[in-house]
Amino acid sequence: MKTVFLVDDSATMLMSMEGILTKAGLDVKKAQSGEAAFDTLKGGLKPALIITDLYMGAMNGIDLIKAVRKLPGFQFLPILMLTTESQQAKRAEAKAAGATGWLVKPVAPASLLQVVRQVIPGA
Amino acid sequence: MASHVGLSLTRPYSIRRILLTGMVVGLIPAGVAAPLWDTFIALAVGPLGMAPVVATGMALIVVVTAGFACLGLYGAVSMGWANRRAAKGSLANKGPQPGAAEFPTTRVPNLVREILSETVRNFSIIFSKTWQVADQLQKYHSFTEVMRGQMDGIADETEQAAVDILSRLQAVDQSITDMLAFLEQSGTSTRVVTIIDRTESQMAENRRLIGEFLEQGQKDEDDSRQHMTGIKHRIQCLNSVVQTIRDLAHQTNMLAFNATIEAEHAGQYGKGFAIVASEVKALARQSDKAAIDIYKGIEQLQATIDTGLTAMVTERIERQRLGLESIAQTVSELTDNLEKIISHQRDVLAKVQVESEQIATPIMELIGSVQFQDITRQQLQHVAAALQTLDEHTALVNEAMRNFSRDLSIGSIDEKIALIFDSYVMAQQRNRHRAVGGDGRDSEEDRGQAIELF
Repeated sequence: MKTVFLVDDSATMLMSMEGILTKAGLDVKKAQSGEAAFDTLKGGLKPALIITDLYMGAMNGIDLIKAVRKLPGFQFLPILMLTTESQQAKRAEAKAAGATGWLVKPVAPASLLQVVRQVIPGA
Repeated sequence: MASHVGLSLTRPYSIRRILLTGMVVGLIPAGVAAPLWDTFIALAVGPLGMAPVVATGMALIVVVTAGFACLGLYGAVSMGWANRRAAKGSLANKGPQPGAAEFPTTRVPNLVREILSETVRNFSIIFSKTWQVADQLQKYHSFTEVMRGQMDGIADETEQAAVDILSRLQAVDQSITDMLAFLEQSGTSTRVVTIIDRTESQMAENRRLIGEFLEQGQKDEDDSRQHMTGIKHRIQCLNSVVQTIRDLAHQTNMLAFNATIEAEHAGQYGKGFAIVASEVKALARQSDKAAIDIYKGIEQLQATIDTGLTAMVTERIERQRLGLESIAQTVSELTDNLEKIISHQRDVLAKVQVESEQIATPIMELIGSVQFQDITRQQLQHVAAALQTLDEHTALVNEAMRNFSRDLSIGSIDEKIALIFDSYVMAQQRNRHRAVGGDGRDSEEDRGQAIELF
């Protein structure tokens, strides 16, 4: 079973996304801050996909992506940004940092699952 | 009016003193009014907006300037008139006039003092009003604190409500999943299939046995009929034997009759023969009688077989046949009912699966729609931050109003609004901000796809 790692400071977002992905047969792990997420990844978690929010306090989503890309074995891991931010400049910044895709909240469950299946073969 | 302001109308005034008077009358109040005007701008622009403030200020400037200009003009005209009067008086009187020795400079300071005192009084009024505004602005902090607290409460309550909704939706979804799993297991489990197969086998075996019973019954009926026919045949054979016996008895009787006649012809020598003949005749009669009895008995037996036994056997066989047919009918109906039940169960399972799939989609949509709470929370946070900015700006203005001597950098409220705009993250926030400001266009920078893979 493929594992998706969700990172967001909103409890409702984490619950909502977990409900959608679990029904699709995916295993879900969660973190409520960039720092906690980075610690979890350093601790050995090897997800098939990371979905992260952008604005999360001290370590935002772009900082998290930059840090994750430096970890061994995470250079090609798909990382999606799921955020309310809509500016093109931020989108370009995330792409430059190493993001795989950009999703604007709120995202419809069917659309989310379609994107997940595109980035995770066999999901 | 001239005496009221201390002007002498008989002494000539020099141009220099006229100009000096005009300067004192016009410039000094203006110099005092300028900082007052700056302070008023700093206090009032924020709460009231620029337009009414500018209008009010302009009106005040016009009124004050006009007022001082009138005073200055009056003073200059009066001095000029006094010059003409003095000139006329010097030509006529050739000498100094009584009271004309008063130097006009004592009148000019009085005028200035009057004007300055009036100005100070006005300044006091403005200062008092300013202090009142400062007091009100100081209360802004409490107001914004209340608003920020309310918004924090709203964010917390909506988050809790969203979590509750999600929990209930997940419980409903789990119940549906469990029900489907149970139904699927019920319809396809090995145990159920085994029971159904065994029941159908038993039904088939019952039908086979019933068929065999019916066949055996028919066979028994045929055998019985054959036996009855055989019995009847034997009876008929017995009848013929009895008839033969009767014939023999008749012939024996005739022989005995003839023997008696011959015995009579033989006379004495025939007496013994006559006795034998008589005995033979008697024996013949007994034989005939016995044959008749046997015949009657055979007839009774035949009647019994024809009416009683045959009917009884036939009736029993018919009852068995009817009973077996009834059993076969019942078994057939049971089989049909069992097949209907199985078919109905499969239909119910299929229907429940279809309906569950249809319910699953709306449930999934509801789970996804709870994301609105996060968006609302972020928007409330931005509003709270804007109130904080306004609160800080108001505190600076308040401090500036209370401490005129301090050089405080308050900054423009427009700059603060621009910073708030820069802090927005959502397109609808930026569009709404522009719409309030009169620009209803959507931003080019926000026209990206909602979902994009790089």
